[in-house]
Amino acid sequence: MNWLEERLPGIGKVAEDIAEHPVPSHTLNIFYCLGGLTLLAFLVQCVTGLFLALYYKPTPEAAFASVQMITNEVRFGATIRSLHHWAANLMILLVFLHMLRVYYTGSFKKPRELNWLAGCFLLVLSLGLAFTGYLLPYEQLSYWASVIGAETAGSLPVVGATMKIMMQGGIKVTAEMLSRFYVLHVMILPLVTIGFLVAHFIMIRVQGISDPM
Amino acid sequence: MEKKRFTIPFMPVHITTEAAIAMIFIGVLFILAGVLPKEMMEPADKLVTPIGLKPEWYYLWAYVILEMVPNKLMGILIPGVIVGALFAVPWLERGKERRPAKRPIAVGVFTAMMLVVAALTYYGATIQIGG
Repeated sequence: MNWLEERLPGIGKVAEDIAEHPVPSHTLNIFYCLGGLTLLAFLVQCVTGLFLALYYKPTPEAAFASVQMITNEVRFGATIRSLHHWAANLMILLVFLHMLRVYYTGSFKKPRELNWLAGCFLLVLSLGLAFTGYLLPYEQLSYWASVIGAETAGSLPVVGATMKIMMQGGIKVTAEMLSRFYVLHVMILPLVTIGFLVAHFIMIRVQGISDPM
Repeated sequence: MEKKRFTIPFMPVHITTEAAIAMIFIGVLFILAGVLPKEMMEPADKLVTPIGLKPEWYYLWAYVILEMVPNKLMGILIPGVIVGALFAVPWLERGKERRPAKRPIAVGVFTAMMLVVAALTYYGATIQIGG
């Protein structure tokens, strides 16, 4: 620590700040674990997603076969894929339950309005990650779910037509749809999610955990 | 409002509890992945639309609204308004009171909305949609 402190003055203070802050005892409650567990589910998604991306091929011709290979041939492939599937479902469930806890304890009230907003964005981002990830195995259900998703976006006023073309990669569904969903799923949405997560946690540290009711 | 602030140290008490819960969660994930593995289904076929198409459980409530409301635009706008209202919660409910029993109207409206979403999800899961 001394070695680091000489080179990065103030780092000890930061580490101390992170490690030694007192935690209010009313948070030792299962309902106050839901947000942390959502984060854990997200971290599981990052790790298992990385492993899946090693073998996954985002083209309409190769996608299904590559997921089949992950499931049937790659060592621990089936386990990693099943973990990714279950952590995704649990993440949605946990983020929803976490929202219920924050609502019913009134923790979103002044001064924490902006953190509630960040949480709402994280909920929508989780749903977006689930939606884009669902297409990737290129199964019957996943393909048609995405087609319906694009159709639904297409019937929005003003932005609808453009959104549909952007999702499908053309006026009709094209091979580009899979690439776009893939890039959204593994790059854009995770990065935006990490951004909102950082904002979410910084606000918690600045404002503190809400008092007991 | 009584302000009793009992605190516990982050190191090592809180972090130990967190670690224990994290390990239980990871354990549950492995059990689920082992007992109910994600299997392969049929590959995508652009020429055959599957019958009774349903989205995953977390989209069911919105899908049921989309299917039930005859006007397609309204079918999209209603779920949109529900999600939009969620973003606006801190501005829709401005009172200082935090105990649910002391804010019956807001809690009642919120709970009713959540029950509607839950009921629509259940409805969507049990019925055959489309054809």
